[in-house]
Parts: sequence; structure tokens; C-alpha cells
Amino acid sequence: MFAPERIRIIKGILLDKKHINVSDLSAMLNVSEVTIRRDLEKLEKEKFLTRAHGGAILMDHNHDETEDDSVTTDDPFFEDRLEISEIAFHMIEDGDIILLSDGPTNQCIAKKILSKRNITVLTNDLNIASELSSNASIKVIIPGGDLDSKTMTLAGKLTEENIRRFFVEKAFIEVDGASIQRGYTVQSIEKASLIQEMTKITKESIIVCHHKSFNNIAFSQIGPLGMAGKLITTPRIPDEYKNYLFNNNIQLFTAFNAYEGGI
Amino acid sequence: MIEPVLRLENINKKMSDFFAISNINLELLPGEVHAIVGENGSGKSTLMRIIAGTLPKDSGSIYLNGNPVDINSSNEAKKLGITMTHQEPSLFEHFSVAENVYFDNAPFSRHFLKTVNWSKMNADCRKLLSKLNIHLDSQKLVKDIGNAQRQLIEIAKAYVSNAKIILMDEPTSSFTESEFIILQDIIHELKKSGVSIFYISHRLDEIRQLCDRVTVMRDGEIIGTESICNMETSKLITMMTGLDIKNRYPKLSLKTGKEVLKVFNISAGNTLKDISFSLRRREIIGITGLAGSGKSKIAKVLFGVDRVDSGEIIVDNRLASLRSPLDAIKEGIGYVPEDRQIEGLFMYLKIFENISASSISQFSNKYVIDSHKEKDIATSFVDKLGIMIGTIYDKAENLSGGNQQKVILAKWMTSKSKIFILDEPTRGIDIAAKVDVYNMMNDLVRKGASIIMISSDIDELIGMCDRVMVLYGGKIVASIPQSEATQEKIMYYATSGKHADE
Repeated sequence: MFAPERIRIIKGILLDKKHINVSDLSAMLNVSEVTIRRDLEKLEKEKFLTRAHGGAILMDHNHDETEDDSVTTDDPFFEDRLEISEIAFHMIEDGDIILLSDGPTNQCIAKKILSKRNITVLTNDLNIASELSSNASIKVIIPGGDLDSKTMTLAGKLTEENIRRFFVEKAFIEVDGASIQRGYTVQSIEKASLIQEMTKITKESIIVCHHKSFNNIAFSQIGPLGMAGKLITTPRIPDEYKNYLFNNNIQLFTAFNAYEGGI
Repeated sequence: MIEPVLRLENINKKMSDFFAISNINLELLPGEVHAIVGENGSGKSTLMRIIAGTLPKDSGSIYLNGNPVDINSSNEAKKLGITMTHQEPSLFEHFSVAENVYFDNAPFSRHFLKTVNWSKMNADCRKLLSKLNIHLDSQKLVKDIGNAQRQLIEIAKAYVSNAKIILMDEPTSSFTESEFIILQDIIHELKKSGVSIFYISHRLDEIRQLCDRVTVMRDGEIIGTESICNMETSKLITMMTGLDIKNRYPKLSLKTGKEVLKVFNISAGNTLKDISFSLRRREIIGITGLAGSGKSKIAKVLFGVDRVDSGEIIVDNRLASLRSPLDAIKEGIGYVPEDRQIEGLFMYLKIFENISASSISQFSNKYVIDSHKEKDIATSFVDKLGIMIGTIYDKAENLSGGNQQKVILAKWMTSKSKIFILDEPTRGIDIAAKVDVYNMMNDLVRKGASIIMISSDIDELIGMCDRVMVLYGGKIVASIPQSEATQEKIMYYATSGKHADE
């Protein structure tokens, strides 16, 4: 069995039963206790659980967070986002100046790039800003604007005017919909308008979205699929998109993470 | 105006969803040597096979001396005076040279009874071979002679067939200079007697010496026909390769690590001469070259299938002795062969059995295979790699080419190989599967593996590789970093065989 799969199962059981012991898990998943302990250690770092003698207990806040759509266990695309952030990680070099638009996948990327040094990140997502603040060598710049307190993101005229002062090398743009006919789309007009501004202040735009975004049309259009030269998603997207993107000279990156123990 | 001996009008043939030749209009003049050039997969051989009657056309007409003809088999073609020499000579292994040469034109002692006059045949053959300067015993069995000489026999066979039109499909891919001179003489002789020849080759220097006109094919279409003296080599290459390389390959630039593989001066027979190169951790190097340049041989040598005569192979700073594929697997080398159906898969085994095939020790104690574990891993791969199948219990033979390729890659991922040798990994698979294969390669190097990618798709090599090495006649003639690699440059080295420092 693969680690992500194991972790998914462990999370499921914990959410259900609130506590679990190592030997049960080991027997159930048919892996050694050492492996289970390592998984639990990983989940403890994610603040999902607290390890106790011979087992683990679910952390309290997990009950509450399952309600909202931030990066938690019931996010059906959590694995997609992790895989996408793996690829994005390799596109960012120490010393880069980048932009991260708001959204849960870009939050995953932010987590992932904490190990980088001397990078500068421009973002309108306060979750991302707060995530990155734990590494002192990463410089974070937040534009002004209207705060959406539900998602903790900034948008509006002021945000757009502010970001025009900057120029970045790479902009990671998270979208909600991707369709051959309608191009890339997001849920709100303000967000679409802000993203259009973002693509003007970057040398290179890189679109990120999970596989269910394909053939999905959200409310407001940003631009055609050809607006960005790179796209990161997962291999489960429909074949017609793989064809279309290749034929239109758009680089399609997908993470496989097929065999976790490999190599 | 000279009347063409052969005229093709609007020939169309669909080979698969990804490949067709379309709207072919072409003329062959009497006594002309007409070169057909183009990259691999541009449709040259397909077109020749249609003329030779071994492949039915979908639509269009063929005119011979102005009269429409219908060619439905190679026998009909031979009756019309058309014969073809194949790149892989189709000779009878257990027959003698003379029997092969005179197979269609054996001298009979009594025509009525059709009894072959053996002594005359052997004598004729000896005479013919000495006339053509082919130094070969006419009674030797074909199975005992080498590739280049087989090709010469194939050509001698066409010579005695009294054909008016000869189609030569890459006759020189196994030739050295001396055999080329023999061929040159034969072609001059044929020309003098009014025979017309279609000559397929990748070697542009040869074409200059032998041919009158050249037709360039690309993606199943004719790009243009010109007299050879009006055609500059650079223009020819541009016509063959088409547009500038496109930036659509998902290449991840990773920092490469220490050397994991070093090859020192390996030579193997006539096919590899003094090959030296090294491969770093997380590096993808590309190898290209024409058919017969030795590019697939490198793969076979590194995987322990073929032996070397001299030279050293060093894996992880230790001298490796690769005497069998098992040795190679133990050194962490995985091999995705060019011919995935014969060499890459157990077609009659189930998918999950194929995936675990190279790492069965991981799944078993000494006696029993843990088939639960085997199936778990297979299921995960099938899901992650998007292998479209019914179940993992399906047989590998029922998969499409792209999915078969993914299963082979999954097999080596399971075996935790560190060095992957991919021989033509995307040939004959659809675009979506290609993109998946490229991303699987990224996945491998991200996890610290290294890849040698052998391909005749130059765009793909430039797109995916950190470095492209070009082979010509068994030697590495150029090693070009990605940033400096262009179609034209690679084609130049691959066809003219000039060294990079010249």
C-alpha cells in the first residue's frame, strides 16, 4: 500500500473513532508498526492528531475545520494539491520573485516552498502570507484592498492598482474552471479581473488547478487556455485536454507520485 | 517533354488515427534516380509499399507509361517490372546466395518441367557477383552472412530481375564505404540501361552523389520535389524538419547530481565504436541517430542483452559486469525496449503480473508470492497512471500501445530502478499517452532516477533531454546541451556524420 492511501485511511478512522492504536492499524493495513508510527508522526506535524502511548488521538480542532473548505482532510482534492505543489516546488529556484494568487492549491505550494531560501512572494491570500511568515528568509509582500473575511483574501480596485507596481518572474494562478470553449474561469468577477492584472505583471504565467476543474465552467472568464504557457494538474484530466494542450504548444505538467517507496 | 515511367496521382492511405499519407502526386522519369527523404514516420516507406503492391491504397491512381494500373500484390508489381529492396532484407535464411538471387528468375533446364538448372544458376551467380564486385561465395547460406552483404544480395536480386523500376528502401543503413562504392557502381549500371529508381535514404551526402532529383516528405505529405543541384543541404533539412521546435514538452529543470553511470570506450562489433559518456543523477540524456547508427545497440549493451568487445561500464563508481539482463536489473537498470510487444511485456499474463514481473522478490518470501501486495501496487499504478482498462486481471495484449507503454514503465518503477533506458518510448502511441510518458519521466527524475532516452523524434529529445548525443556509424559525433540543440544541428550531425570539432 502507498503512503497517501494509508494516510487517507488513518485519517478516516481517526475522524470516525477519535482514537486508534498502532498495533490495530499495523494489522489492518498490513504494514509494520514502524511504518505506522512514521505515518502518525507525519500527521502529528500536520497537527491532525496527537501521538499517545501506543496510539494516537484526534486533535480537537479537526471537528470544527471539517465544516469549512480550507485544506483539511475532507478536501477531496487534497492529494491533487499536494501533487501539484511537488511540481511547482521544482519550478521555483532560490532567489526567485514569484506571485501566488489566492486558493487552496497555492496554499499547498506555499507550504511546500518553505524550505526555499531568499525568495520573494507577492500574494493576495493572507493564509499564504501567514504560512510563509514562518521562514524569515522568505520575503512576503501583500497588496492592499478589500478583505473577504471568509476566505481571508484581498481583491478589488486597490489590490489591482497595488500589484501594478511590481513585476515577478513566475505567477502561479489558481483557477476554478478550465474548458476548451470558455478557457480559464473563476467564481467571481473581482477575482477574474485581479487575475487578468496579475498576468500582466509576470514574465511567465503558470496555471494550477485540480483535475475536476476540466470541462467545468465557473462564473467569470479570465482568458483562453492559450493565455499561459504552463499548466500543472494531475494525470486524471480528460485525454482531449492533453491533446489540445500539446497541439497548442502549452506545457502540461502532471505529477504521478505513483510509487511512493520507489527509487 | 519526357513521359514519366511512373506517375502517382492523389494517393491516400490511412494507416492509423495518428498517421496517414495524403494527396501524393509524384512522377518518376526514365533512367532517373529519385531520392525520397524525410524524417522517420514521414511516410516514405508507406508510399514505396503502395507502389510495390504490398500495401493497398485507399484512393488515387497509379499510371505506368501513361496507362492506369492496379497493383494488388508484389507478384503483380513484379510482372509490371516493379521490384523493391527492403531495409531489412527479406531473404531465405537457409537457402544459398545463388538461390536467393535467382529465386524469381531461376534458369530452367527444361522449361516445361520447370526443373532448375543448378549448375547454370551457380555459374551465373558467380559471374554476376564478380561483375558487381561482390566478394561472396555463391553457395554460402544466407544465414551465415552479415547484414551489409545481405543487403547487397537483395540489390543483386533486383538487378537480375529485369525490373524497369526499382524501389530501394534505405539500402545503405548497414553499409560501410566499400559497400557503398559497390552500390554506386550497380546504380550507374542500372541507370545506363534505362532503369528508374526511387531511393530512400537519410544520408544526404549519399543522395548528392547518387541522385538526380529529391522529393521531401513530412507528416505523410510531399513538401516539394527539386533537382538535387538546385537544393542546398540547409534548405533540404529545413524542408524535412518543418517548423522551429515548439515549446510544448513538460521539461522540469532539476539540479543534476553525481555521476551514476560511466561508459568508457565501449566497442561492439561494427555497430559501436569507442563510445564514452556519463550520466548524472536526475539527468535525462537523449540519444539519436539514423537506423543502423547503433543507438538501440547501446541500450541492449547497457541492459546486458548484447555483449561488448572492449570497454568498461561503471555504475555507482563500481565496475559493472553486465552479462545478462538479470545483472543489469541488480545494478538498478531498467529497460523499456523499442519493441514493447515482443520484448517488453508478457502479452498473455495479466496486467498486475506484468507490473510485478521485474521485482518479484519484493513480493515473495522464498516460496510464495504475496499476491495481495502485488495487486495493491498494480491497482495504485493503474489508477495513478490513468491506464484505461477493465481490471488489473485483463491481459496485457488487450491494451492500447500507450497503455502498454505505461505498464512497462510501471514495472520498472516497481523494481526501484535507478537508471532507465527508454528506447523509442513514445513511438506509435497517441498524444495523450505521450504527455503522460513525459510526465512519468519527470516523476522518475524528481525522485532521483536518471534516464537515457533513445528516440528518432528530434523535437521530443530537444524538449525533454538535458543533453542530446548524436550517433553516426556507431560513433558519438556530437553531444549538444539542450540550450544549444536545434533540429537542424542534430539532423546535420545525424546525416552527414561530420564531427562536432570539424
